[in-house]
Amino acid sequence: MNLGRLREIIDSYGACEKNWPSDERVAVLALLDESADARALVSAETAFDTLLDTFEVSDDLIAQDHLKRKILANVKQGLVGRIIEWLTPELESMPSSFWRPAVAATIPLILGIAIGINTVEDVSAVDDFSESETLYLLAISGENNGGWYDE
Amino acid sequence: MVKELDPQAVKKMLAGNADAFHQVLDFHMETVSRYVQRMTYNRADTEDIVQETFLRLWSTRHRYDPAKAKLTTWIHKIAHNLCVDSLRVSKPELRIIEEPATNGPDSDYDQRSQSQIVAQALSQLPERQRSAVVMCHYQGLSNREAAEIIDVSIDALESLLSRGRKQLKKTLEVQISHPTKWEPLSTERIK
Repeated sequence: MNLGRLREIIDSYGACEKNWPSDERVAVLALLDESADARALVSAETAFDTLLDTFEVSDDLIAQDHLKRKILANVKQGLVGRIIEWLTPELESMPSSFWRPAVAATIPLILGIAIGINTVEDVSAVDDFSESETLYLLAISGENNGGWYDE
Repeated sequence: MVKELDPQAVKKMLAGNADAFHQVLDFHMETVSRYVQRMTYNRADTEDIVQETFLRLWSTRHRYDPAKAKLTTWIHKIAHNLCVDSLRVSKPELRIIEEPATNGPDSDYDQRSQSQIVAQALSQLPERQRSAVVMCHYQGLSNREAAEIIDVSIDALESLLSRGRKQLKKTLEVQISHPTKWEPLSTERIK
């Protein structure tokens, strides 16, 4: 750190220590300790910073609850968001609500079993149909065969 | 003691929890309002921009990555972009109003007057210089955060700050030595 860099820092960030770049703050403070010229640079800028600080903003606007209400009225939590929240309880409440993700994890299993059962029923239904159809076809083919023989 | 936002609230908000969003709103609204007021110096614009900032925060929450930026930086970036858009649409002209002769040396009045003079001097700066000064001097953001929000390098940010402060000094030197009050035309003033 030297006076040239200090001048650049003060020109950019002003005289207030908290506004200086964090990675150079210690070096600037060390320079201020040992150099009267450095202290004079900071001192000369302090008045301007104080003048800038006179710019006040309206607190009544900041405190207005109606603006918050307007914002919140426009924010709706979607169904997906609510489901995710329900399924992912906080760590503190995990002991009492660990069953939620467990239930969620069993859903695919339950669905799989339900689909499996239904599929098996369908297959047997198809098999039954195929059997009766086979008999019918055999019967038809028998008549046809008889017809052929008659000829 | 510095008030801190519960990191769980941010996580929950990102997952779509409206109650957590309420907490984030409570925590950041004042800071954002101050930033927008200092950028626009107009009540109606401030309300609209603050509202839009938080609605965008909510609607684009899936794009926010906590590993890449602090939430305050992300919110300031949204607010900054909205302020820039607003300033580009409406650039208030300035007029100079003579101080009423009946005003005596009242300290509150002087304080208000000085605040307005600084506000007006700030509003005269090009938008990027103004943003840089507002973020680093008034909002207490670090140089890295401000550079990220304005989307410039640290060197470029220092250049913006340096030119901005130099211009402010010049303007304020004239204004403070010649007591006049400036007001933008066709806009509702905050004070």
